[in-house]
Amino acid sequence: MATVVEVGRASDAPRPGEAISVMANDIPVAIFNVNDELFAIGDTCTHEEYPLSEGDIEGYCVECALHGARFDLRTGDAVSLPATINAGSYPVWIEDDTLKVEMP
Amino acid sequence: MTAPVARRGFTEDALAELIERRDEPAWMRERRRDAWKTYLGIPMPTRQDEEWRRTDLRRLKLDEVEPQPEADNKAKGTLVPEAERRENFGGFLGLRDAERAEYRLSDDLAAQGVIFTDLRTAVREHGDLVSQHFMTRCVPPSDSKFAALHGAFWDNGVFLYVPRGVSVELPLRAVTQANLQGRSSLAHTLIVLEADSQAVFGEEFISPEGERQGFSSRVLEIILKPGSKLHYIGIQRWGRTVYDFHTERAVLERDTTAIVQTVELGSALSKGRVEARLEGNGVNVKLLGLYIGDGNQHLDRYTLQDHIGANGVSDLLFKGVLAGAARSVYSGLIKVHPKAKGTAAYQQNRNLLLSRKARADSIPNLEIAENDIIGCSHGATIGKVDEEQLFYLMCRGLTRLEATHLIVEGFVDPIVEVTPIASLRDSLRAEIQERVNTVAAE
Repeated sequence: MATVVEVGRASDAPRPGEAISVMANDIPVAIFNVNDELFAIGDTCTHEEYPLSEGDIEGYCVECALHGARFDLRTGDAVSLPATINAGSYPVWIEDDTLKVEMP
Repeated sequence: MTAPVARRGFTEDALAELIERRDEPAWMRERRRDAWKTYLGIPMPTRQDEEWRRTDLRRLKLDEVEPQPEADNKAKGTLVPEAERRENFGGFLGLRDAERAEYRLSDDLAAQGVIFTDLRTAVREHGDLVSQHFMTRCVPPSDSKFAALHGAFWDNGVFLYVPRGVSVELPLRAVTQANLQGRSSLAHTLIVLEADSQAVFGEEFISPEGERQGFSSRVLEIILKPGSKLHYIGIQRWGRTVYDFHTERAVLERDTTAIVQTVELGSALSKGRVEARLEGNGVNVKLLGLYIGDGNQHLDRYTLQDHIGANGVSDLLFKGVLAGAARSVYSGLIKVHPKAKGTAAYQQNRNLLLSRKARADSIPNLEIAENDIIGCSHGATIGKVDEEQLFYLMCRGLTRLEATHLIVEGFVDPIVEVTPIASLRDSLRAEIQERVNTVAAE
């Protein structure tokens, strides 16, 4: 059953073009801001498990800082090698001045 | 009157309380304080440090564990494993939540000057010996962030000292049991063998399963003086929510012989170093490791065969069996210093994957600064059970599962078969086999 996890205040949310890393239900989650839209995917590259929150954002993709694997921020899909496995994607929003993520 | 709230996290206040409670000699109190300063001066490792690149510490909650939990006095009964109760030990030490719960040492060994006791007692009664060797030349607090934390907060452990020329014929045994539900264990084993002495020692670390995260920091220091011999086996059986960090190092002087076996069966994440420093000439050391992972276990090993003296022989074999979504990381270095002539060093890491999601990384390294050596070699394999082997076994009437069991049993046995205590060897064999049988069936 899905649970809504409060991961910070609204002021903790990343600014446009940036990302933050939070823990939700013991899972590292990366929250990205693309043109004031928030996206949350698993903060672990499915290739070598490096934090995706440290990667480079290009459009709606993030490129892992370690070996260049790219993930779609909207779906968590691995869109380029060396990663092939989805990183996980979670609904994220701000409500009542709180940053929230829905975890499965 | 309300019960005191358990203090959480490793802090300066927690250290001050520990020092006050322990009533240790001044030198140990000072060492703890110095180790704490060292700890504060070392940054927490990150994924940008090469040694930590493949190990994720984000789930580690150091500030939520009790650093010095009170002993759980409810648990009773002997700590001698059932399978070994008929074994004739030279001595046995049982620690329950860092308190000495069970202890015996044969009169004969005591009369020969052998010291085999818990470390807290050793600090009080054999301070000169302990202060000389405890976290000095072998594993100093400056070794790493976690070694420094250990130096400040170590809770108890084993001290084994064998005087010159004494041969301890019967094996010595220890069991450290801890409740690690939101609690910690910082166990220290210090083994010092004087010249031409020998001993066999086996220990294990156990905690029950549970829900809450636990923390373990273990340090093993082995110091062998010229001509001495040691066979050591350490088995880690922590619960699946424990984060375990350990440093095991042997400093080997001239003409020493050592076999160091480490077996890792438990924990959520276990990151350790297993190292042998061949300081003297003519040293012979075997490093044998076995790790078995399933579920989401993460097992990370760094090994070092550090050849400083001449004519040293080191032989390392580390094997892993991984199932579920377990991951192992092995990184090993053979380092041959200038003037370490006649060195012969071998390193093998073999990994068997029993599931699609299991993963092993193996990174062997050589750093050789001396030309006049016998040889250095390393090898790594990662693979699934050989289908051809399965086929031939199934041809003889075995099911696929039975054939897999047999192959895995053969794979791990080179590490298990050298276990020096017969009943421990047999029970370990059976336990590993049952574990492998379970995960192979998944």
